This record gives sequence, C-alpha cells and structure tokens, in this order.
Amino acid sequence: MINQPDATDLLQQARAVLLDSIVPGLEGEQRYQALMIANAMGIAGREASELRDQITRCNKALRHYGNYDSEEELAKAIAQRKLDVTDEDLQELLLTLTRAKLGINNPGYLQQREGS
Amino acid sequence: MSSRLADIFADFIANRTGASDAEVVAFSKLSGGAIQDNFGLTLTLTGGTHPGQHELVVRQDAPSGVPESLSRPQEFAVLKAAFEAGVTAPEPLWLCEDPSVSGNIFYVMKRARGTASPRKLVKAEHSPEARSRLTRRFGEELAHLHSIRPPREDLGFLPLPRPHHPALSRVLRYRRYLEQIGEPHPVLEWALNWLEDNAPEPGPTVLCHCDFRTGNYMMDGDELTAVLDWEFATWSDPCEDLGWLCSRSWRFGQEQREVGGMGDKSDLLAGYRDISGTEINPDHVSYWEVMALVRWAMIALQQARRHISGEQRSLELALTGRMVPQMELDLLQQIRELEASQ
Repeated sequence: MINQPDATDLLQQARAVLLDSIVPGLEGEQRYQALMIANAMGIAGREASELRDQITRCNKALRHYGNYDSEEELAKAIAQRKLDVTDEDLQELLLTLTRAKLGINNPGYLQQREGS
Repeated sequence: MSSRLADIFADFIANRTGASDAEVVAFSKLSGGAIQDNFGLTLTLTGGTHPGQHELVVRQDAPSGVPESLSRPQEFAVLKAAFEAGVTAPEPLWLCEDPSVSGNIFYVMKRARGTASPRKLVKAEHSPEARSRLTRRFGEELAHLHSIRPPREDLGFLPLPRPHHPALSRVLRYRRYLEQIGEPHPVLEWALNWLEDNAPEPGPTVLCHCDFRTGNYMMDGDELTAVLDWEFATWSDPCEDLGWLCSRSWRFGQEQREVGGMGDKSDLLAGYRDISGTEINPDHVSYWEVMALVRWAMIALQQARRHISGEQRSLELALTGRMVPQMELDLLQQIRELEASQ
C-alpha cells in the first residue's frame, strides 16, 4: 500500500507546527502539556521510522552473545543468576539494547551521556 | 478555583483554633503533585489561639495514589516528628481525618517562601561559599532527620525493613516487582544482581525521607526554607537518603555538582558529620546512588503501568515509562565506573 506522506513525515510536520507556531504563545500548565505532546510525537515518529532496524540490531546482538532469541530469555537468565555480572560482553550487549531504546525515546540523552 | 472549598478549609481552621472569624485572603491550587492536591491558602483569623494572617498549604489526597506512599494522617505524623527533630520541614498544624468535611482527608501546614523548581534552582547564581554552605545544610538536615530511630509509638505504622537489611530488602522487593509486571528488563535484573553482590553492611535503621532531592525542597535566594514531599518516608539506611540526593537523575544538567546539581559530596558529608558525629563512607553513598537509579526506574515502571492498565490514563505517566532506558544507561555507566575504580 502506498500512502504518502508516511506516518513519520506526518508526525514530524505536526510536531514542527506545534513547536514553532503554538508553543510560543502558551504559558504555564498549557505550555508544559504542549511540550509533552511534542515529546510524545517525537518518540512515535522515531519509532515509526527506526523500530524495525533497531529490533534487527538487538536480535543480532542477542544471538551473537549467547544465542538468545529474545530480551525475555536474556532477562530470565540474568534473574536466575546464570550470567556473571562482571562479564564485559554481557555489559556490551546490555549497552546495545539500551542504546537502541534511547535512540527512540531520547536520543539527546544518549548523546549527552555518551559524549561526556 | 472553587471558593467553596476555601470556605470549608477556613471554617475547619476557625473551628480548630477557636477563631471567631476566618477570612480567606487568597486561595489557589499549587502545581506539582501527581499524588496529592496542594492548595495555597492565605487566611486572616480573628481571636482564638492563632490570631492574625497566615500563609498556609492544604494537602489532600488526589483521586489516585501509589501503593508505596503514606496516607495523609501518616504523613502528618512523619512531618511532626521531623519538625520536632529540627528538620526544616513546613510546620504541620491541623489534620482533618473526617472525609465528610471536604470530601477527602487533608491537613494544613505553614507555607514556606521561595521556589522548588529544579531548573531554576540549579541555574541560580550562588557564590562558591553559599553553594558550599547550602550543600552542608543538606547534610545537616538529613542528620537531624536520621536522629529519629525506631521504636517510635507515633510512627508505628512504618514497616521495618525485612530482612533487617534495607538494601537487600529493597533488592528482594524490586525483583518481585519485575516478576509481577512480566516485562523484560535485563539491565534492571543485572543491576539488582550487582546490588545483591555488593551490598555493604547496613548502617543504623533511621527515619529516611526517601525522596529528598532537588525539586523537593524550597529555597528563597540562597536559603533553604523547607524540605517537602514526605509521602515516601520510611525506616531505612542513612545512605539511602544521601544516595538518592546524589543520584545522577537529579542533577538537571549540572553533572559536575553531584549533590542534586547544587554542590559537592564532601560538603554534604561534612554537614552530616557536624550534626550526627557519624563519618559516612562515600563508597556506601555510591552504592545507594546505584540503588536510587533502580528505584527511580521501578517508580517509572509503576507509573507507566497506571497509564497502560487504564487506572489513570495520563500522558505524563505514559512518558515517564519511556524514561526507563535513561536510568538503565546511567546504571550501566555508573556500575562500570565503580567496578573500574575498585
């Protein structure tokens, strides 16, 4: 199905209108709410365009580390204390999963923390 | 803002103080408080035990609370104990336990001057001396609070940590919680294992505020005027409060100022030592900073659940759920730094 412009584009444009034309005229609680809406639209937009790639990247890392099929399996193995907390490869895998999520939820935070 | 509610509060206060008249000068809903409604109330009382004008805050339950938090009467008792121990808490004045008066249980306390806005507070210009004094003051405040120890009849509703090890009791509780929500969080499981393996010997069991951070105290210029938001207070390890205040989550962009974006840890611990006579091991504070990140992640997961389950649909709660990977990244970085420094 071809249906253009796509969801990412629509969300991006709607968010730009909200931030450029509406937010400057708002104050207090309404401004706070509008900024939350812009934040939610940003997350949804990034998820629409990046989720598939991020899932592929995470699944590859999970298989590469210990042949895990899912994050659930990994979480269970850690909870059952089957893995060494200090294992650096495990920490790298956990970083990969976390970076993937932050890339969608808050890329600015990722950049700020990893840049410093 | 309903002036009917203001009149209800004014009548109640007149009744409690024996005033012949209570005139409402100002009344407004205050911001901040997903769990409670806070109202600012300025009142002139004629006669009775408290004649004159008063700047007050009325705090009552909002429609939904979180299971971990105290009821209003319990919070009133904690506030009273803290105030009497010398903590700069708003003076608690009157408690109304009859929900038929206003529709909810509420209490009245003195209103503190200044702002609690974290962004304003961390950006404010302070001299290095003022900053150091303030940070020491945080330590002093916590030392006063931590002088309150069990058993206390007035605080009998507060549960003691089980097992009698606050850190391990938190680890157990958070593991159980992760199991309950059934959502995979490998980083949190990993951090809980680290917390289990690295738990220091517990300190004395003391009354902890459990949410003392930038955003939950008021300042007027460079003076601390009140420690707010007591609904999570419980018996715990002194380092729980110190670690929470130093957590990376509450520095609001001022990363180099590890005490709430305001000052240095050495000042905090010096202030604590001045009042308590106790030398705190900074490694224990670092351990509890890791615990603080896990706890904040747990609270965020709980808030997201309230939205997802339909119990309280809210964009703010939904977005809080999406913050969890921030705490997870901070956990990975901080634990690795601690491991590397050993």
